[in-house]
Amino acid sequence: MPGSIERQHTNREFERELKQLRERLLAMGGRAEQQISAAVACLVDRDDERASKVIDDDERIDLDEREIDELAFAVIARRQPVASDLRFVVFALKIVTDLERIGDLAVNIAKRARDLARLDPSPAEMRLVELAVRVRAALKDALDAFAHSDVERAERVIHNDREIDLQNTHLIADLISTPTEGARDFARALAISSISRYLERIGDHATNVAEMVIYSLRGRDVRHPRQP
Amino acid sequence: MTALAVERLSAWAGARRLLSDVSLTLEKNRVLAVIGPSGSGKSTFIRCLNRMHELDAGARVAGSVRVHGVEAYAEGIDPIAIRRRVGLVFQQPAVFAHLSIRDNVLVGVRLGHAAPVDADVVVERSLRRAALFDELRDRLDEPATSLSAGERQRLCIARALAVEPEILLLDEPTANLDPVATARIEGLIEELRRSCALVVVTHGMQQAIRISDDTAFLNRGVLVEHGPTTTLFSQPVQLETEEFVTGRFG
Repeated sequence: MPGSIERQHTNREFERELKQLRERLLAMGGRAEQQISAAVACLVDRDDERASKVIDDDERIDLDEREIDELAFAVIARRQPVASDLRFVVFALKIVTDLERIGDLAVNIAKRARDLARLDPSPAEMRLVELAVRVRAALKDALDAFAHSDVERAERVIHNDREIDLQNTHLIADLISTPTEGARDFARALAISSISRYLERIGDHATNVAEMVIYSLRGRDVRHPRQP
Repeated sequence: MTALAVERLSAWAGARRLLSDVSLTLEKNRVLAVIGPSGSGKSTFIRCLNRMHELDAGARVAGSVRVHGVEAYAEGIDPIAIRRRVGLVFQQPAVFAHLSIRDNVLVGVRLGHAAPVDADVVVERSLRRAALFDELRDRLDEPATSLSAGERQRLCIARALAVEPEILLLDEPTANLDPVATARIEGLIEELRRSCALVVVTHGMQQAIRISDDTAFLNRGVLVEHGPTTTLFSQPVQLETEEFVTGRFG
């Protein structure tokens, strides 16, 4: 689509509904970002109480999912949107699932962080924090790409996901090759590898969001590109 | 097979240009929806396709319209013969009040055929194709004014079908109908596309999506965009199309 749409809908109520949907999505995305940070902070600070808060706060994200779904369905039923409006509503219905899954994965991280809190810190945990910083940045960039209609930023998120995958693969490979001495070492390695996997999956969901941003803005489906 | 080929079609009403260099083609058994804001040239466009536009005082047409390969505006072509091949149904169901349902169906056939036709066969076939026969088989001699608005519109379609056109033009055929009557007409369009090509002018975006294979968007007499309906309504190429179909103007 050449150019950008500057005109508003003639129907102001429709315009208001789309604006509300957009604001709700951005708020939910912000909450998902915060949950990732909070879950990783539990790990760094060995903060059991904070882990419980992450688990409790997931309810808000679940509620976001239900309410955004309702809003999107109402827009479809009332307005029967087409073109960029239709793509935006489809975008909302798709990314809401990714954001909800990100919330669930943050809860999983918080639970594993609680397990790790009972064990001595290990150097591998710093690598988890580095991975978490990268993953959160990916989600932030994907949401910023949505907020600012920025296709290039969305494309960078998709491109950079390879780095996240590699970092996770290397971390797990190193854990496997490190000899464990007893049950505590094994439990630590298991928790760290789980958190690494959860973070990698959050990266995948951020990539999904970025792909849908491109679809919503350009009408171009960039999912599942064929390998050369 | 190309049913309709329009090339650089322009139309004027006096000095005012209503259409500018419109070019498109329509294949047989396909439905083309024509959308656009009021005054965009939609009705002028379809009235040019069967040479109705030239009936208006001061009207002028330039360009080419080929119906199954035959140039409609070629010298020596009888405009009435073109209007029989390209039927037009108007927004207001125009029935002849003093005629029965049967005679309304037969008006076009009687005007155009020197040779006698089997009237009963034509009436039944046309009303069946317009999905009216079962409703009206026992009322054929009643005046057409006894029909509801939806039935009158289908009667007009039956009358157009009676002369077996190759292309059927419908100008906002459901503009004055309730949702049930609208659904009947839309179902009928789906049936009719099996035997001919249809061009439907509509103000309803959702109707265009439901009934058509291709859509043409006209604005200020210019063909802004033309393509498969699903593409035009999900990923329009032109910003002007995007703004119109999403309700930002028009």
